[in-house]
Amino acid sequence: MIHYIIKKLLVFPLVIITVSLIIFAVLRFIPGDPARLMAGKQATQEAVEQMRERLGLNQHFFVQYGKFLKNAVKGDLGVSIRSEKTVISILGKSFPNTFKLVIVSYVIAVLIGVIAGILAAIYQYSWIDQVVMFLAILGASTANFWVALMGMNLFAVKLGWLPLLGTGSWKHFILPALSLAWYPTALIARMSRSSMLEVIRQDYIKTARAKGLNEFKVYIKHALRNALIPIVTVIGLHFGVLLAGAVVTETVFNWPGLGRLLVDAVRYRDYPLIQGSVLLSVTSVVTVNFVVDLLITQINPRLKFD
Amino acid sequence: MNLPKKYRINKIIKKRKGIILGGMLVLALIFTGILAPWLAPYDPYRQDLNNTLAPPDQNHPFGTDNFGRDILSRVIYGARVSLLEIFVSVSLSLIIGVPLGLIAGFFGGRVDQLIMWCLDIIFAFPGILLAILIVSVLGPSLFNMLIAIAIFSVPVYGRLTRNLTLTIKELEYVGAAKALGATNKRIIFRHILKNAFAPLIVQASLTAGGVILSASSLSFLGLGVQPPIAEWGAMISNGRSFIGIAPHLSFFPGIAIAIVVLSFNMLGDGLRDLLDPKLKNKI
Repeated sequence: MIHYIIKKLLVFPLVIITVSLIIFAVLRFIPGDPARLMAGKQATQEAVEQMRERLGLNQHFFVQYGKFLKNAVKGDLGVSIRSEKTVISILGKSFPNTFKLVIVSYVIAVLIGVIAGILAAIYQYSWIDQVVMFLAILGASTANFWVALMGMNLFAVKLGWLPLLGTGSWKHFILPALSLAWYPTALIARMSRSSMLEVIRQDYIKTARAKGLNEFKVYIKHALRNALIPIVTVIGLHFGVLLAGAVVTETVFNWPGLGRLLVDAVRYRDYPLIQGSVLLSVTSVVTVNFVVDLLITQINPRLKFD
Repeated sequence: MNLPKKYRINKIIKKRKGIILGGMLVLALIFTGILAPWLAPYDPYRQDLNNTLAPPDQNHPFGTDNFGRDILSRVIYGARVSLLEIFVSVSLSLIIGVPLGLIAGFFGGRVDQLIMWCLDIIFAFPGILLAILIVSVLGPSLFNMLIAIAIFSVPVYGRLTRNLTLTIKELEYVGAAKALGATNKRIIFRHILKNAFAPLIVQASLTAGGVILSASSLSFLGLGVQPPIAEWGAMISNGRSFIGIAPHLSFFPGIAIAIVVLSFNMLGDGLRDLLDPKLKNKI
């Protein structure tokens, strides 16, 4: 168990460094000269050369990458080409907005998904099961931006219950968070159902029943604990799904977060900003997956002896 | 079983209704794509500026968009783009992922570690983000988007093929082939790949729905298919500005996406249960 954690702890920074190297390398292939982009359209050849010198673009790739990494560790991710503000300050403003949205959706997806899936498994073939499975199938096949737009039309335009766009009150969260949670809720519900069904058929559940435990105890103490292991794994993987989904949801709702920032940055070829926002997103996904891995070793005692 | 024939057929249909329904819908998509010029009532690109944002009526069952183009015709033509998206990106990720998985699983050791490390790194990127990164370099277009989607699905096929290879290469018939002096090439292609084929097809069907969702998301963001091409995600994006006054612009393409994703998922689930029930919950 200790070995496992140490191994994971060692691999973690290695993954982040490789990811940053890939992002850095891929963005070097962006067509167009970044020095010219930053110096402006009217700049003279001399000014462009000066900019190239300043950005260190005439140095060897690995020297550039080394500098980038060194600065990144210090919290310096460069300057946005478009707004000329530091990337870290722009990210600092938009990341909390994305984080709040993703966390709210995450809680919704996990709570509704796990509870619905488990109820569907306990009452297999009943109307509850059928309703849950129908919604799960629907959720897994509809595009989240379409659900968002239809929700906007119904609840904001037609009924006027919720605000259309923007941020501010808790009411602004409802539509974006629900439409973002829509897809992962469906997958989590499906996974929880099948995981629970598998466990319910095991012999130790029969034993628990045979020794006269009430149904509640059988399900909560015996079944749920074992069913949780695959569920937690799937839930962990969904943080990335949600963060990626946020890119689209934020665009629909004009939500001032990381996703919208990234889409705009791509449109303006603002490569330091693309670099920073992708790096931040991937780092947070890798971190969450790492925490989930550790969590799984905690709830799955079998792993402790590996 | 000695059941009367009628009951047996009923049982088969009941058990495999997912495959039958999903398969029929997938076939319907393919025919819609091929027969689009004959099925569509109008030219999907013909503008009629006297009849813009018209709600559904007898002449235009799905209404018209902001340029007066017939939405039904555009949805029908959109099936072509969707088929192309699925075909190109699924085949690309199979072409890259399967050989990597075969090599990793068959030879093991350092090669295996290196390949799996690369695949895990790609896997660490949330799909759309990697696609956005790639599109930002290649520029937004249909084919660049498909390359991006193919790359982020490579780890799925790579891992699956590796795991299948690891299982199959321990089986007796591979041992027998080796004893007969079969070359590695022959074992890989004739024995392992042939037996890994069914699960790979299942996975391809299961990922086809995901391809449509990713492609429409990227097009919705303006990073994929560019207007005026009739693509469902781009159509929903176009309808976004008119959502309050003419929701039908976005409504119908969204329904089309849902039906296609649903049918590939049903087909994939059904095939998986039919070909290998043990794989349930695993892929």
